This record gives sequence, C-alpha cells and structure tokens, in this order.
Amino acid sequence: MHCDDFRVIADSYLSDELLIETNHDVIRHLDSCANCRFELAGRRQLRHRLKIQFNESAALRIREGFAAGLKLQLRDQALGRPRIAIPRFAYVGVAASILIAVAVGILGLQSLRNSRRELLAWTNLTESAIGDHRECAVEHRLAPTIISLDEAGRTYDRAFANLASAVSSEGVLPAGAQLLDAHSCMFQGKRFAHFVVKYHDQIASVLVAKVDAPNSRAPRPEPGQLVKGFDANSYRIAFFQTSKHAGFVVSGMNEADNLAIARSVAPALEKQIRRAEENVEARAFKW
Amino acid sequence: MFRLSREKRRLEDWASFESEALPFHVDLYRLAKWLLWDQSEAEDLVQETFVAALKSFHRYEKGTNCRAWLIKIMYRTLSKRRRTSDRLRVVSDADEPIEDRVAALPARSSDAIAEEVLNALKRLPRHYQEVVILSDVEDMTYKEIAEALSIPTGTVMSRLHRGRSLLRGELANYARSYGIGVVKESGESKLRLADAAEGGKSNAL
Repeated sequence: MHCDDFRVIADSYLSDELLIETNHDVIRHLDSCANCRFELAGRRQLRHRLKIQFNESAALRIREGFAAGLKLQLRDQALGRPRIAIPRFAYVGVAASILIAVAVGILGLQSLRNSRRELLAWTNLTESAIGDHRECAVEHRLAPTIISLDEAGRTYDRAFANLASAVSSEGVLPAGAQLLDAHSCMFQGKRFAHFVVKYHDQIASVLVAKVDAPNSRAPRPEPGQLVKGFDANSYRIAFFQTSKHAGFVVSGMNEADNLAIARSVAPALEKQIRRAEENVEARAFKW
Repeated sequence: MFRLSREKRRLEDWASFESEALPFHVDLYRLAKWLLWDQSEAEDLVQETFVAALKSFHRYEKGTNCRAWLIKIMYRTLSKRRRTSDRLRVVSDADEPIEDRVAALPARSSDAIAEEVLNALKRLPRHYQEVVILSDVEDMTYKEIAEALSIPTGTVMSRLHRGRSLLRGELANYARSYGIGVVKESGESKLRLADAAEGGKSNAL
C-alpha cells in the first residue's frame, strides 16, 4: 500500500469500516510509514476535538427543565393517562391542605363573596378554581375526565398543549418548589389545566381555565397584572388573566408563599397561553 | 384481570423505553439544535421524535443502536416538517466541486483555530455537515447514516470524504499542527491539492 492509497481510506479505517484484509494492509503500511502514522494520529485528534466541542458547546446545550417536561409527556402517553409517582403521603397532603371547597363549604364561599364580590362577579371561575379538585388529585385518578394536558390541548383547548413544559422549565417555579403533577381535569363542568406544586412542605394548585363569557360589570385586570390573593377560610387565592383564559393559584400557604408561586408561574403560563390564543386567532383569520 | 395485565404491560413498555431511548434525549437535542439553530424548533423536533419513537418502540430491535434508530426517526420527522413548512431551508443535494467550496486559508494560530472546529464545520454545506456529525460525533456506521438520511451508502462515503476534506481545508493550520496533509505540502494550496487528489478516488472507498 502506498501513502496516497492510505490517505484515501484513512478515515474509513478510523471508522472501522474497512474489510479485514484491507485493515491488515493498513496496519502493515502503518508499521513501516511514520508519516502516515502521524497523519492518522492527526485525523483521529481532529475527530476527537470535533466530538468534544460538539458535545460541550454551550450553544447546543439542552435547556434544563425540557427533559422533565418531555419525560412527563411521554410517560402520560405511554401509560395512557397521567400518572405521576407522588408518594402516598403527598396525596394525603393534597387531600388535607389544598383543594378546599366542599369541605370549606358554603360558609367559605359566602365569605369569599363578601370579601371579593367584584372578583366573583367577573367570573364564576373562581368558585370552580377553589372547588373540590381533591377529587381529581387523589381519589379519582382513573376517572375519564382526567387526561394529560397534551391530550386536553388536542381535544379541548389548544392553550393546554405545552403548559406542562412551560411550568417545568427552569426558573419558572420558585427555588425549592417541586412540580408533583400536571393534568387536565373537570370540575363543575369546567375543564382545567391543573398543576400540583409542593413548596415549603405544603401543596398548592395552579389552575388554568378558559373564560367563556367574562362579566362586563366586573373590573378586569390588565394583561400581565397579577391580582393579589385573598383569603377563604385560611386558603389563599391569586389570579391572573389573558384575553381568553384565567389562571389561579390556590393553597393553604401563607400569603407570601402563595404569591411567590403565583408571581413565578404567571408570566410563563401567560406567555404560553397567549401564544396559543394568537395561533388560534391566526388560524381562524386564515380560514 | 385483563385490565391489570394491560396496565402491567404498559408499565413494562414504558420502563423499557425510559431506560433504552430516553437517555439519548440530550444527544438528539444537540443534533436538532445544530440542524435548526432555534431552541423551540429544536425542542419541538425532539418532542415529536420521541413521541413517534414511543409509538413505534415495538419495532425497535433490542441490542441494536438505539441512538441511530432515534436519529433516523428524527430525520424522518424533520423531512416531514420540511415538506409542510417553508420556514426551513431546503438544502440542495448536489455535491459541488471541492475547489468551489474550500475557503481561503487565512493565517491563524493553532489555538484560535482549535476553538473554531465547530465554526469551521458550520461553514460547510449542510449535507456535508450532516454526514460528518453523524459519523464522527454520533459514531454511526455508513449504513446507519444512509438509512437515517435516506441516501445510498456510496453517497454517504463520498460526502464524508468531501466533507472531511473541506473541514481540514477550513482548519488548515489546525490540521497541520496535528500533521494532517504534511506529506503533500509543496505549494500555497497544499491541502486543496491533497484533497483534490483524494477526491478522485473517493468512490473507491
């Protein structure tokens, strides 16, 4: 074998793509040719450098949080339903602390009405949001009304489609907060995107739902404005809105923690929902 | 009973997918980002790829190269998207003469060029970048690359040869510092001459 011949097949030799006989020819040639050994080492080094730079390039680095969202979505799809491995005690936590409502009862709702009548006048969604989501979070996980957010995005509301990724992205939840569950559920005939978040050992629900017919009498917050939470039998509620959706953070936490979650998740959710709303409008316009 | 066994099978399938396919999400993302240079587009592509892979995971043969299988799915997904969207640039498939593509070789220090391997790769025509990355970074065989890109193995080999030659041309100083092309150096276009000489034999690989 000549040096010219070797140079033609040197890369195939490095890739182990040559026939055994040709490999032997190459090895014999390398034994007797220092220049080609040098050339081969150089090509090997160039490949090595390329691989390292490609794998370590900051521009190609994956966004933290993307993997978690992807895994969540794939697992939902693989298992045919949302199934998050929340420890049993966490369910108890959910049942005990989070989702208010029937247990809170009429008295609680009444106090809500008294304290924030204008908010309730804006939409009856608030009642649904603080309603008994305990059912979907704990007891009726197999109920057909509980589906993954992506399925809900395809079937009911496009805005739900990428919400799980939005919430699970890095920096969206406050430091120390953990996303335990993400699904879509029904309550009082309303479909919600529902995120269960653990923060400072307590549970909060982040809920998003479409607004059917906002009450024109009620003051509507500006887009991006977060309405400060209010109390209902020691539960805190904060909410934000886009043109067609409203989002709620409901928990038994102190006001600071509840607002911290709301302030963290609201911009990401709002951005994602707005994008979906604009896409829907753009499609409608095209048609 | 039937429901329980179905549930169990789903769990087993998921566990298998999670352990065999999911660990490659980082590799796939890097490749998607390289191909699209847009974070959300790349994320969408990886997401679509894994959803498609999950659906057809029963067709994956255990013990084969799962990463190559996923990359093949990703290219098919990308190809489908390219057909339906004009947002992505369609790359010409024609192999162009090396002489027309080799950039001038400015004098640069080895260190500076060593940081520019990726930039040099980026300057190559897309179809050369792809095969070089799939072979030299992803360690895919010629056959696997051919299947992923839906092109003949011979085309893979010739593109690889030309792509690597172009890359060496782009990184002439760097290549020289490692001894690549030293034998043929005798004029101002040494590497190009060396590549041209090799190019004539590329089909014999």
